[in-house]
Amino acid sequence: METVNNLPDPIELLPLTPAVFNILLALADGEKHGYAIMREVEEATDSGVRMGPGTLYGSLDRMLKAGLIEESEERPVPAKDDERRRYYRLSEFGSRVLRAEVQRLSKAVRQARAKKILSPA
Amino acid sequence: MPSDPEPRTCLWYKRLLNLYPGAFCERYGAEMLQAFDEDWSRASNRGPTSKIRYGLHVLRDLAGTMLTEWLKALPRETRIALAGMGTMVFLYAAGHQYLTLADWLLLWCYLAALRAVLLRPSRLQFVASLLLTAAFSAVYFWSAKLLTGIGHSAYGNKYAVVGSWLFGAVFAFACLGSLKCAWGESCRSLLSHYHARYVFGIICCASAIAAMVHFGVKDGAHAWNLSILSMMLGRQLDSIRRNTGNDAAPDSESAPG
Repeated sequence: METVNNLPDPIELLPLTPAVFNILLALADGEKHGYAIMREVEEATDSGVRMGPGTLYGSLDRMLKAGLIEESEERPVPAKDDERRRYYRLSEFGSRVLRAEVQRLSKAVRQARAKKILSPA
Repeated sequence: MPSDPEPRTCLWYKRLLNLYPGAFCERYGAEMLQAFDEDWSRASNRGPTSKIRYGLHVLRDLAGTMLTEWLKALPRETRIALAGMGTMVFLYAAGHQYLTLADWLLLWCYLAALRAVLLRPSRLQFVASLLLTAAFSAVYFWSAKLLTGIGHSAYGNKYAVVGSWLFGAVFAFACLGSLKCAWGESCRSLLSHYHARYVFGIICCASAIAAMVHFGVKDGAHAWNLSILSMMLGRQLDSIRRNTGNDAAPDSESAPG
């Protein structure tokens, strides 16, 4: 796998595409395999972001190369494991990028509230 | 692997996966097939409308991502050349078809040589790079001179000389900067100090604007083309500067998002 020597400032990667943002968010609470990510994104967004296999694995490939996620070497217990599946987890850099994106979105939501586009929380 | 015979739809999907670039298919093919298999079963349980909707969704996904993955799988020089071909269609209409073609072919050769030579520089490769530079410059000069001779550009000859030697100088400088010796170190610090990328960009834009003012927009289009190429070389220089010292390729890739 490619190693990432000079990671950019997280701000430079913003705004993230919906696919990348939702994948990072799905991995925020622990490692998952590709299909589990796909299901979680679909459920969390009420099918608003529906990724096909090509979009999901194309995005995972780019994110691995950019150092946002890592492939996990830990496997679940053999009874639950499927050898075809790979597990992915957030990297330290990926966490920073996700935090920066969430902060950016929170700011936008605050502005929307101030302009009464959204009702106060 | 499951021993059950695969349903016909999965076999079709499996065949379609072979249309992705080989490396991508090899790495993710099995997982994609599994994801498709599970989603297809879920859609089938919900009824025929759901199946049709999911089928269309997958076809759209395949068509879009296949193109992206093929473009990603192409070498950087080929992608740049393809982008150049796109630009060329526009410039063809401006009346400089042949010289424009020569520009982009030359750029392609230069970038290929930069990558090949600078990844693991040695004195032998340095000499080879200088010979390549001379050869490319000669080809460029010859093509521009030939086309000037048959009336395609009134100024191509002069510009070709300047352009080819400018490229030659940039290329030689890049090669020198990649060497692990005192001269290479001086070159790198100079590049580092003056931010070569921006300096080249400014010089090239200024020269293109000057050419457009002097020769008119039609002839200037060719100058503009040259300036874009020079800026790309400037970008390569900047990448080389950042990556010298480790064995990374000159083009550090990819920002998602």
